[in-house]
Amino acid sequence: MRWQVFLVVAFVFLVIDGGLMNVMQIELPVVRVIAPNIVAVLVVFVCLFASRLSALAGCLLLGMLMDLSLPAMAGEAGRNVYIVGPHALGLLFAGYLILQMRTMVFRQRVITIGVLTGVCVMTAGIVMTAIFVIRGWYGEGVVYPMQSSAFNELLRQAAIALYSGLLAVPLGWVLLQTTPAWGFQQSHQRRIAR
Amino acid sequence: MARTLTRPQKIFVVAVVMTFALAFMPAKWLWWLESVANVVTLPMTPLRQAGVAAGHWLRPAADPRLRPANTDRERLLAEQLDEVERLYHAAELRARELQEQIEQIQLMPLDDLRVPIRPVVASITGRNPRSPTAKVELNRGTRFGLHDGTIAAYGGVHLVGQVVDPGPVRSFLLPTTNINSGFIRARVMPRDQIEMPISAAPVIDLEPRGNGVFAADIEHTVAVSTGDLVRLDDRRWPATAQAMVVGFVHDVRPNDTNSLLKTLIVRPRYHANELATVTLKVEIVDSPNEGHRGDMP
Repeated sequence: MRWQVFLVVAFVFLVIDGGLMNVMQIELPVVRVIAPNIVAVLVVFVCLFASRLSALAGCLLLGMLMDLSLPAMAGEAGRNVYIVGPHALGLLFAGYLILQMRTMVFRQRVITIGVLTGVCVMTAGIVMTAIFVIRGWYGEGVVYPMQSSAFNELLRQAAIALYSGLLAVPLGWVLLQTTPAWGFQQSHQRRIAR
Repeated sequence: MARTLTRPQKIFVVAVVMTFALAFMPAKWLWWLESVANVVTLPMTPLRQAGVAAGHWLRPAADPRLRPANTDRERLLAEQLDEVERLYHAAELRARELQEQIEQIQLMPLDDLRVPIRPVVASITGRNPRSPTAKVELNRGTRFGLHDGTIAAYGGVHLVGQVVDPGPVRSFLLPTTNINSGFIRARVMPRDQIEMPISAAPVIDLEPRGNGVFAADIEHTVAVSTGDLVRLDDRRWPATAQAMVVGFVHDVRPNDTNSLLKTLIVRPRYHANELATVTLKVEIVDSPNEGHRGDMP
């Protein structure tokens, strides 16, 4: 995988996620406001085509950048709190799951990217919720971006997963057109390299 | 036979272990991450600002009183009417306070209600699209006179939140609906009785629920209906925020635990998360010791 291409695309996706995704917000009962996670589409795309180590490293890096580029969380008296880990570990676990599944799917199909994006967002959501719940036991007064209960939060993540999966279909098609630019090694090339 | 790790694999394992450690570290040990975040967001900020502006153009925050066909002049008039109403109610609140403190009446002329402020328009340069009550990032800081507690408004009178921890050139806005904003004391103004004095309106304590709305208990006998305006009346907030619109009554529900009470669900008309810009009410002070600021809530 060409890391320069990855970094440029990751930058664009992070800018869109933090700046433009509000346009796609919808309000649902119980889970209230949700918006799709387009960074997950990039995670799925990279995990489908890159080598294992590159894919996992890409997931970790994307997650760290998400943790650091989203506005700070509110600590006691509203003070700024940054935490590296929830998105990073969430996307890392999701990426690992997709790596296990990629031999069983048709990688070049946009529907594959759509379905796997839903799986990715849900997996990352479960890990993030677990981290926030555990951190909630510290009693630091930090307001984590989650619902009042873990169950409601998982419902919300399921809704975001579904929405992200739908958005991943057109976005996945665009990414598939750029595949040659990424310089992914084919699996038989990797075997020869070994 | 044990498999040896290559150098990139070793680096990756170390990075994962460090991320695990950081994810569960107490927040007070992670103070240094703010500087790292500043560096990471620096190249993104101008593009995100453009994205937020484009998003607002595509899907503007709606004012239910106005139709798309309304002219700019009509919109301006509506905003000015809101501001006059706010000043009127702020005057009432101050008059009531002065009645309780008669000895101060001569020292506090009503002109003081119009706290001299310098409006500063700030663009929103970052936000979490999946969390409506999370902080949003602004492109203004202490160089523009911002300080802890500076009020952020939209449409003149709608309270959006307050500035927290401002840096020199950027700051964060804590929305009123964030749990850490704490309880807000407010009054419910019936929508069909515009001339009703604010001091006669029932008092409620709004509790942010963390999902973009407030909840407040009120006696069952008090007449409240959906659409009623909720205005701030809380001395812990700065004078510039008094009588501003916190939101409107979205729902009235029976209280499950106490049949003598009912629960009001109050929603802000504008969420910080859906705006492209906010107006910051920076108070003009003559000297560091002379200001009109109240205590922070």
